[in-house]
Amino acid sequence: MFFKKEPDVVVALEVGTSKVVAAVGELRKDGSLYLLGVGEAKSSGVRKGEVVDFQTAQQTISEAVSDAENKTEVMVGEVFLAVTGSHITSRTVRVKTNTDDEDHMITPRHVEDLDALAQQQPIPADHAVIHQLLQHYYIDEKTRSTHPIGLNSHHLEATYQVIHGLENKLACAVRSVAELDVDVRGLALAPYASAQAILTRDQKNQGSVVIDLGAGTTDYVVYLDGAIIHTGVLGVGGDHMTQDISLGLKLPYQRAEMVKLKHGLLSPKGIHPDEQITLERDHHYDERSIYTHSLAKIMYARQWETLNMVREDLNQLNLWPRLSSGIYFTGGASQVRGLREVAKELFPVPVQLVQEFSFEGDLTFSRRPDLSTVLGLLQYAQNYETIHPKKAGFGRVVELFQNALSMVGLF
Amino acid sequence: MIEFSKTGPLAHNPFHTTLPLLIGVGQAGISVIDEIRLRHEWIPGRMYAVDTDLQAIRGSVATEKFLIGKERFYGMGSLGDRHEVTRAVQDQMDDLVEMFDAGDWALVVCGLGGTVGSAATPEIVNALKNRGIQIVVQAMLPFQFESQERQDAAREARARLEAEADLVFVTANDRLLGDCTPSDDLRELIHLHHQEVACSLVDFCRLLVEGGMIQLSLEDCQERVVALARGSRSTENTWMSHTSDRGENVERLIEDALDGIQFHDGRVWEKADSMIVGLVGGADLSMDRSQDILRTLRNRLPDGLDFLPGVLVDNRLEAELRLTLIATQSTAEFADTVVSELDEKSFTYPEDAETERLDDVNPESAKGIEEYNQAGIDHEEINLGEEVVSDADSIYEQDFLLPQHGTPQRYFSEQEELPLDRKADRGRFEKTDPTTINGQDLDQPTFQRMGMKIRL
Repeated sequence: MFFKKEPDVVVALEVGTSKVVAAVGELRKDGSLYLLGVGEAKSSGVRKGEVVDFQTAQQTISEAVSDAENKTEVMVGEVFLAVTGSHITSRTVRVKTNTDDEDHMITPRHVEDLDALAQQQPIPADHAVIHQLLQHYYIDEKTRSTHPIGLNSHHLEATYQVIHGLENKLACAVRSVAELDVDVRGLALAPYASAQAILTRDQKNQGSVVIDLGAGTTDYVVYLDGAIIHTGVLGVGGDHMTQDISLGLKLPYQRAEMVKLKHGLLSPKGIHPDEQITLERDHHYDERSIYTHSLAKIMYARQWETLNMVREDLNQLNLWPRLSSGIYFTGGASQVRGLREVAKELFPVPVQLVQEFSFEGDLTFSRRPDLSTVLGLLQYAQNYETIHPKKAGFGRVVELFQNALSMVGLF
Repeated sequence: MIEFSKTGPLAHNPFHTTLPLLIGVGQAGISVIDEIRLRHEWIPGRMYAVDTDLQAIRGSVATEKFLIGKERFYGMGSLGDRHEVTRAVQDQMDDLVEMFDAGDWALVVCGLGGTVGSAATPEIVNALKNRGIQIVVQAMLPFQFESQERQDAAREARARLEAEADLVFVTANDRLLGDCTPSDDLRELIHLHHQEVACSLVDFCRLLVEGGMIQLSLEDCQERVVALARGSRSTENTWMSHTSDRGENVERLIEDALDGIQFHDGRVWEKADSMIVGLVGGADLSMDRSQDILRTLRNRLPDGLDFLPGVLVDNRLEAELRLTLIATQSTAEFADTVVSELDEKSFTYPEDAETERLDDVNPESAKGIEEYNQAGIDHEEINLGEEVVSDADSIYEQDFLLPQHGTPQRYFSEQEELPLDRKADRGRFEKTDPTTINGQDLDQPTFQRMGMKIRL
């Protein structure tokens, strides 16, 4: 088997509640990213985006990575890992530094000072930072600047979106991968990664929301003026909907999942109360009929509730008039029929379902909204590699060692 | 223009010069007094939290706390045993009453759906009354979808409270269902309800204690609040709403008050025949202005509604206006009147009444239903086989389930089990941290939490 040289590829790994996915992309010399392939395995031991059964989860991660290696002929040595879970939260911090020099010119040192100050902002003692994302610089407290270096000002301020989560849960996710002899090069919040695959720079500037409806969680991220201003993770997803169907219609969980995927719909409106769906007999289950209206009622209640919680959170930003680009839905659970109508009922901005992605490479995955996180994570990885190029030789060894320690909170 | 000074001779003729003892019994009662303590600078005297649950007691911000049945329940709550709670309160009554040592009147707040609220409150009220303390009770009735046992307990407790206390405001949780949709968070609504009750009670107490430009007296209020007969199936006698505003927009203030959570379903306008109004403002609230506000409010209310205003100036409020509306029912309706004329014994429910269902009602009860059906109303229409009660009108119809002639019969409606009473099975999410938002366990199916019936 021929394995390509490691420096040319980036691998994105998502340990999801329904499946584990590893996407392999090639970084080309012209600066483009080429999707080589995607390895998948049915997930187990993961609930609400968090590992609850370490060994089982590790086994499925191994299967997905092996599948990716076989499909792409790339030896996976390190990955970028998408993380999610309701323990993850974010806050905006504003920091300020004085320019004491005679000419008050802003230098790279001042920018570094702000980064350091932002890192010192308090977060809960048991949390670790996932991202510290720069939003904007401010010159003399008012004027916003994207590149302040070289400008003159008495003060330089900056706002950052600091995304953090429970350290032990993040460490567990990292360890589940690292123990397979796969280095974790970086972490990224899943909806932040998804947004990279979905939103253009203009859409980020105009004000957009990306809602990723996953199996275990509902994640969302809000962009305005090109910067992330809010993120959220609800520990509710398609898994909950399947359980609702299972309990409501008295179906085994696996059959309820099949019913959801094949017949699921979100609005009971217009359905005749006596309309039924016949579930055919197979070697597991007997033939049975269920009322379509009941199915839609159960699914609508759950989806409405979930989206309403997102809406209530976003209401607190009081920014609806400025989110002119609207809301983009993605994720596996966004493929359910009737989602657009429910979303339109709730949100006062345009709603779009993102069902297709444009990228170079293996296009068999271009119509898979359930892959939005790993596809976006590849783009995040590409950007990350551009900004933080890998060191060579002994420096590389030290870096890997430091990364491994810092990921488990020891360094 | 003649204006009355707050300190002038006509300004102060209060019901009592002392602040009331404020006693919260059970979780609902404690929740309301906590709201009072946390939200208001004006604290109506000493505040007491009384419960069997040590956690609820510890979590309360009341100044005095009393754990009922320490030896019986070990602070773990009463587990629904009303008789044990009654016995525990009786055993500890001396200690309890000793705690209420000062004051000549008390405001007791309780929920009658809970075990402690329904079992302990009448005992406490009885003991206070024996010490010559005047008592105002604010009691909250359980939802109609709660178990028959709870309804019976609430009814019995209410009857005892009305026999002992000087004034009993009874509000119904069902009013919160007025425009409640499956997506609404009922616990959040209950919380809002407690806030509204807390605000209303604070201003009501102040109007009784501090006097003001227009004085309220307990006697006037008593006349306007009916004490319904024992065994009555009627629900509440009071609907409360409270709002405050810093602006000059009186119309909006009134609009907000009339949009109170208990007024939403419109039942208040069908049942209430009196309106106790509390208006509290800052130093800029002149007699002229208060009259204008009251006049505007009066014009917004239905004709024929008896109007009882009280106005108070509080210099700390600056430009703020606080408006409290307490709509009351002052006369018993036909059904209640019939009941009151009958032998009380026929309405005494068994001590250990258990939930009975339509399928196994006794012949006498069945006869009552039959008679009722003959009168042209199908009990299936209002009973609750299809959906858990979500239609306030349907709920209310139960108030009048009495035969047209002869002895009133008990009607047993089919009840859904209250989700709170059910041990939650977390199923697939057993190994995960619960996802709880706004008091809702999101790992439980939405349709179950919202009380939706699913046709199989």
